Amino acid sequence: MQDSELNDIMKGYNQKLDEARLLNLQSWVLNLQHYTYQQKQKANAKLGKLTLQKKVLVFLGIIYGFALLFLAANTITWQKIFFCICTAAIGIITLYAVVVYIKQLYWIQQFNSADSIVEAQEKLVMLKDSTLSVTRILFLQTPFYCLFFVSPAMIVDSPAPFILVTLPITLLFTFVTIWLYRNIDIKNAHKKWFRILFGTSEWTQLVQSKQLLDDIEEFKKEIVMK
Amino acid sequence: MEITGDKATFLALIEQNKGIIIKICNSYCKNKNDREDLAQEMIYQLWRSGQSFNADYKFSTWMYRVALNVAISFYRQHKQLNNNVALSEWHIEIEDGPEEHTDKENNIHLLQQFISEMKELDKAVLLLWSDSKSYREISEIIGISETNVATKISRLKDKLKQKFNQHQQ
Repeated sequence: MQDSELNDIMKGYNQKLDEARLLNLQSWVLNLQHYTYQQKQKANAKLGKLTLQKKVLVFLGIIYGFALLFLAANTITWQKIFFCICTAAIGIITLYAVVVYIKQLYWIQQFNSADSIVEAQEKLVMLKDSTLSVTRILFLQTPFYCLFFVSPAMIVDSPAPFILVTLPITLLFTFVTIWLYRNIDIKNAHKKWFRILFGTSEWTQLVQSKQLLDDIEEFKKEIVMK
Repeated sequence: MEITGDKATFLALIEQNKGIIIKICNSYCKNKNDREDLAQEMIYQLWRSGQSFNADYKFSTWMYRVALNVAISFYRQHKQLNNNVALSEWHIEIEDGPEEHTDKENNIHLLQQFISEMKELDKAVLLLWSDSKSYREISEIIGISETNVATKISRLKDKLKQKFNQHQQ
């Protein structure tokens, strides 16, 4: 097939589309305000709940994070060294997650559907990906919950329970946590363990986003290679 | 520049450029109900995004950006949900054109099928090229360089020709 033939078919395709009509356009636009009101009502109903949820989470996160740091700062003694380190670590991780969360809210507000296609779609995928960031950050707290009750005296006086129970459990959780931190990524969204961890609905959305991310990357790569 | 200040201005702009809506809806949605829903969503988003219109760009460039972003998101969401939203009384109805079965019509039908099989971003580039948009405009809408647009179009045309050839054999 020649270029000219393809161009002719393309012209014909355009003509055919021009023959298609938009019916009721005028009456629809006249009802636009009503539709806008309806859409706003729907969005407010959804966003109202979400925003309140987010505000509560951010508020509680800040209170919890600073309370833990305050507690840690006021219990610095050798006997409570594990408690102090673990509490401080959990507090710092919580506050870091809150910062990431606030950053996400800012990105949502900044989204503009009049951005170029690649830019806008990348931003949408980035938003989905950032919801995962908070989860993987919060997972980092897990090993500290296994150690906060330990004291140096406990290890010296009765080392067996510490060596046989606490230490292996902490090491196991540390390993799992590090593995999750490295692997909770949108690029792994298609994997089975991901689906089990995040549930079907979230998983489906993330797989779709991953697919779009792949498409965007491939779209750019293909061009660069030429 | 405020384009959604009054309905009459907005309606006139949409009327003048309704071909963009029809083309995108036909390229991204297979069935009539979906096309109608997408058209409605596009007009709503255009109305909402009116304040972001930059007078440095052509209206059609801005409209393509918003409409294609809506179409790509709608397409993915719809693919995921796989359901049809009930039509409201003031929905836009996009009528199918008259059916003819000449060679030309068959080729057009094939082209439509090949376009529908493409990835969303490729589809967008092809749609803009078929609408005789300049490489500069396409690059502004898609967000890649003009050189890359040229390369991409050349590849897409090759792919299409290859598909037509395979079909003819």
